[in-house]
Amino acid sequence: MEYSEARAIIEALIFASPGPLSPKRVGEILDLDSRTIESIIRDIKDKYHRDKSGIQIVFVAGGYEMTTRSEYADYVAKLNVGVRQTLSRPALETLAIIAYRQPVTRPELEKIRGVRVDSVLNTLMERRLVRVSGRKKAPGRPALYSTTSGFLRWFGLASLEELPPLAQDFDSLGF
Amino acid sequence: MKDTPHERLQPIRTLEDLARSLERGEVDPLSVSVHDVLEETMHEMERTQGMPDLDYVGDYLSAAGTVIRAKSEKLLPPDESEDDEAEDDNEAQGDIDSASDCDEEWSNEALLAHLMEYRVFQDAVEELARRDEAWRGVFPRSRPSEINIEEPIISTEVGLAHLLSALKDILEDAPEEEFSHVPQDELMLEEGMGSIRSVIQENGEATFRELFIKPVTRSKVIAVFLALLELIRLREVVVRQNQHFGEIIISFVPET
Repeated sequence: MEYSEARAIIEALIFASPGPLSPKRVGEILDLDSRTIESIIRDIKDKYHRDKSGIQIVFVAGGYEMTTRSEYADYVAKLNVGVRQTLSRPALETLAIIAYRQPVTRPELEKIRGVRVDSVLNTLMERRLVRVSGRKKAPGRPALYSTTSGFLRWFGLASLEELPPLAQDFDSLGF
Repeated sequence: MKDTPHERLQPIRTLEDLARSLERGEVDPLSVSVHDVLEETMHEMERTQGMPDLDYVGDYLSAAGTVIRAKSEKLLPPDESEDDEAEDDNEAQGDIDSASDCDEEWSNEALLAHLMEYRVFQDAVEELARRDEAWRGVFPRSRPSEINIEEPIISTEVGLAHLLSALKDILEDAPEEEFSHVPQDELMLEEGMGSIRSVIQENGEATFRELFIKPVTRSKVIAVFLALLELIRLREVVVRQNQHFGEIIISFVPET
């Protein structure tokens, strides 16, 4: 297969994929090693960049995805494609705690936040940023909450490792 | 009691603000005027009347409550079992370095530990807030159900009408109940959700009818049905039909 053909096919795959397309999946379809795939995708990304395209390829939730460039957000929004609301502060705080402490129960979340989180949690579940990932083996079998791949896409994160490390010790917090 | 003039309160918004004030030694529990806290709170409540964000108001009240609790604890006579030496030290040093021994003043360890644990996440919250804003204007080629807010709750193949007519069949089979007494079943929805989850877990999916094998009474059937609607609303499960008039199949929402 010629390079230009492989490049065209990969571009088509990313375009048609219903979600982030993992390099592994591309490898299964094209029988190419991951290094070649990654270099081809870098090539496509460069091309978009050179052409000042309105489209870009980003790596989120473990795969490649085509998106519009944020510079043109105002225009795209006029298509009524449903611009999402930014999340409230309590929602972000609850999400952050879930992201680092997952899987976590509701009482554990409430202990850290100091307020009830049930309504926030429902909003996050409805937006599919958080899901019930299991039940804790404790009295009452409380639900355990984890973040979803939708969470990673929402924030443009390749994986959870991309979140900043938590401040570990007392001193670094300036107390 | 100390004769400290009451400090004008900085607006407290979240526990985070309170933590900052603590850090800078701005808030001494004894100098907090309960009147000011209440006034600020009332003022804030009035301000938000147009757009009542319950989460925000809740956080605000929680922060105000924390400050007032700290003061009330300070006003109580010291616990006999508490460390006497620390008390003496404070007396001896007087007010000279009142700012630097602010940590001592706040040796309410439970509160501090709580604020610590809470603060640890603040960098992450800032990062998420920044990304939330930045990625809002980035539109993916494919709009997955989890990002599309306008997504219909029940999948297009199976509407509420289908579910209701399937429910009717089940109800017809269910035996009539004795109405001599009304059983108290407060946890029926939660139980129903649990039983649906376990039925689906067995085979990865379940038919509509399979959900109703266990419940024998009509009220239990209704409870399981409501539980199903709740699970659909929470997007834990999806319903689909593989063919027209085929069995309705319920499965967990796949993780993509």
